[in-house]
Amino acid sequence: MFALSTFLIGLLATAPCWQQNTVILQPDAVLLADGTLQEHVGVAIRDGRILEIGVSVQVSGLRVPLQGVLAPGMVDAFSGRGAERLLTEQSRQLTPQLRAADGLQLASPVWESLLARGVTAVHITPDPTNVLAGRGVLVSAAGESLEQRILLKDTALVGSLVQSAIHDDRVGPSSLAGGLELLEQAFATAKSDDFGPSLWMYLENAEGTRGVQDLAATKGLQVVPILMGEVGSYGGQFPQQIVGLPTMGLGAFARRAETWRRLAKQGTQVAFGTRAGNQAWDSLRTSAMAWSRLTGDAAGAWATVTFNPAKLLGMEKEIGSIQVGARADLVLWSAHPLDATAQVVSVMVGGQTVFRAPLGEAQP
Amino acid sequence: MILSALSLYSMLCLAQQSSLTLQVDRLHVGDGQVLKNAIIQLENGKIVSVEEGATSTGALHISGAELTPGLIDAFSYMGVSGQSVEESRESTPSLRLAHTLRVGDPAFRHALSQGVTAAFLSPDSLNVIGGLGAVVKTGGGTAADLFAEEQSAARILNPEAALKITLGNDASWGNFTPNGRFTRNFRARRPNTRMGTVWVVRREFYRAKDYLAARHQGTVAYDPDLEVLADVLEGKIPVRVQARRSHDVQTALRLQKEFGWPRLTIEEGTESQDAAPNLAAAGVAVITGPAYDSSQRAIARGPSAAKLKQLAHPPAVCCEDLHDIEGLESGMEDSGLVPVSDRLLDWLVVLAPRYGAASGLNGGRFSEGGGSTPALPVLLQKAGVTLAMGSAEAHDQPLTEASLIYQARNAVRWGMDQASALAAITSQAAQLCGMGQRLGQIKSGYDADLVLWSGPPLDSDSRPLLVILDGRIVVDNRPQE
Repeated sequence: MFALSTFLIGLLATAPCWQQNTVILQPDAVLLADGTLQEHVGVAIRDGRILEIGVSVQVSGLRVPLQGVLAPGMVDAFSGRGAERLLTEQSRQLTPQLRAADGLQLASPVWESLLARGVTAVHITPDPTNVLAGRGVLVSAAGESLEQRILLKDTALVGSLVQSAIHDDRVGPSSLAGGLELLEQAFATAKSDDFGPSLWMYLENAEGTRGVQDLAATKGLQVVPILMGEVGSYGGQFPQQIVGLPTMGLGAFARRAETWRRLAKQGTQVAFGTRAGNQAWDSLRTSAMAWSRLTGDAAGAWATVTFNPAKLLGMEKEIGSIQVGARADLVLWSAHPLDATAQVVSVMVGGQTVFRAPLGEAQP
Repeated sequence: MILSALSLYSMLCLAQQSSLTLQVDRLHVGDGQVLKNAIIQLENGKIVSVEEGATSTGALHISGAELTPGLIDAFSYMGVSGQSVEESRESTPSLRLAHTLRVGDPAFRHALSQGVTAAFLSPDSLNVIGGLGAVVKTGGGTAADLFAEEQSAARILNPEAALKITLGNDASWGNFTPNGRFTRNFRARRPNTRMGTVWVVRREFYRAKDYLAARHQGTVAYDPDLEVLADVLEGKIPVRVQARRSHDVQTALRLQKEFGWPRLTIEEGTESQDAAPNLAAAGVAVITGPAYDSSQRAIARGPSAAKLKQLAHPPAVCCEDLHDIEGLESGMEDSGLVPVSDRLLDWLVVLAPRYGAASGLNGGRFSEGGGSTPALPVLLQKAGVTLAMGSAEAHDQPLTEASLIYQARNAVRWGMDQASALAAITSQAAQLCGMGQRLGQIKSGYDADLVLWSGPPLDSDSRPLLVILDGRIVVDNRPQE
């Protein structure tokens, strides 16, 4: 059965004429948008998008039985993977005109490795070493052309008030006060559409957070906080809100466990990202697994690497969940993806199979 | 039934929190008056009535306890970190300390437990024109810490309470003459001296004068920095000048004459007794910096670095401190100090650790405290100078020796009368912080910030039994029955 399913999906990819037609995937179970695991559900796909989901799918098409759990591909909320090593301009501190899209490395072997771990979309942000660093880009982990790979060209303006941005002996600033002053100047001189709908800020203390929120409020801007440093000392500022959080290696969980538990308790939702986080290939999934253990909420934990990042990017209708109309970025797992033993069987991006685990041995 | 019981309970709780009646044997109003057997009613965070010679059943009463207004630290660095001063420029008047204030800092809790309910927070002294200080209450804010046991944090009352200007050593700290490869560092700049520091102040205020003229004509291109300086020239924002040496105080007075600052206050004023007649003539108040019993801190117990240098190499033509050297030399044998080379001493001074977030190099108060005396408050008072007291970074650690009440007790010990010493940390301090209509006195209509002391507040044995902030008991040290 396993071999058959991978064979059939492989067949889909190699027969382009079938793309025009409908394919109905029938896995053992589907991880739906609300985080529930539903058995005996078919997922109909046409033109790279999900057409229908249901126990008895109405549309006709090729039915492909699959062994395993079908889940949405993971989304890395903020990352430097697949881009130039240095994605920043150090000659000045305000560089809002820079675009991460100009520093992409689409031919990098990184993408193959990400697919093998079930990551299908990555939000690449500039380095958090400038107060206003530039705009991010949302990239699909697979696709034939540049147009297909870039899901969103200018996602959001990305800024930072962490030490590396505000302690600069050469061009300044030398302090948080100076960093906020630069931001204030940028806000004062900006035209209304310069900033876009949201501003992603790398933060590391209560004062910086308060300062940015005050400034952004004057412009009606939404701030998406990415919480670095000692989150416990200022996490109380984000109840009932989605925040970015760097991924952690398993060894660091013990130290962060209580912070994460308290964050979840006050209703904070999290979108994990790997920039400045743990760089292990599987860190997104292991972080979600740890979140699940600490909070006892598997659905919420899976959302930290799928729905929440998509929501922060305003792409929740496109990626990050299995729902009608969304991109068919799907991963077939051997078990529930938050199960430590689960392995990636195959990966579909935009309706095409782009990765298959070697027969009989999935990626560790 | 359960619901109504619950709502009744919650109403009771609210009622308990929003009103309180105290009966005290002695009440210090804060302006020098003392009332006996007074009843004070607090409601919704305000003092509703103060009656002398009355009795009330059910009022909170502890025999022998005395009530004062909540203390006001007129010059403090609580929650002020190095993050608050932007050193890439020497003049940053538009920076608001309130933006980068660490409201959840434990210092506020320490201060509260020592009876300090409000404070003026001063920007750090490492810039010539540092920015706008803030007046806060030490409690009633919201802490952002996920692990905070209770919601205790500072609450900002006025984010633009005064503009801080620093004269003397601190302002030019870290700057150097541009040479070779280090010129790319922004510290390769003016000022390196006191003269340079004053030059920066004058340059900025001459620009501000032009700006103000343009503002009156309506032809001004908005500049946030000059906007603040223009407000200072118009008297909308007061000026605080940190000046320790007497000639720095004189410089501040000269600058005031030159630019007509309507509201000037001297901060720290370590040697300001030497300039007291001039201060009194100009009507300029002083907020005295902290005096400590410990020789490690600011009081002039040990010789300053400058004096140690003179000791090692007496100059041919000496300077202003010549009269002090003799006394120090005789103390050398006892202290075990040995003369060291000038160069070594330079290095020692440079390498000495900084003793606080907001105090500049260790040398700061040492080298500028040469003429300081613990009798400063009483000397100023006798010369007719208005004064309040501050405790700088004293509350950063739970060191009670340096807390605000001890500043007042020290002043009394060195000859000040009790009423004036208390006024200097309550009503007078509130006045100099621009909060005289609201804080610092026990009168109806004022904020219900009170401290109940176990005895006369300026007795060294007395301690705070209750601290009340906005009508709520926030510190309770009453003896357990």
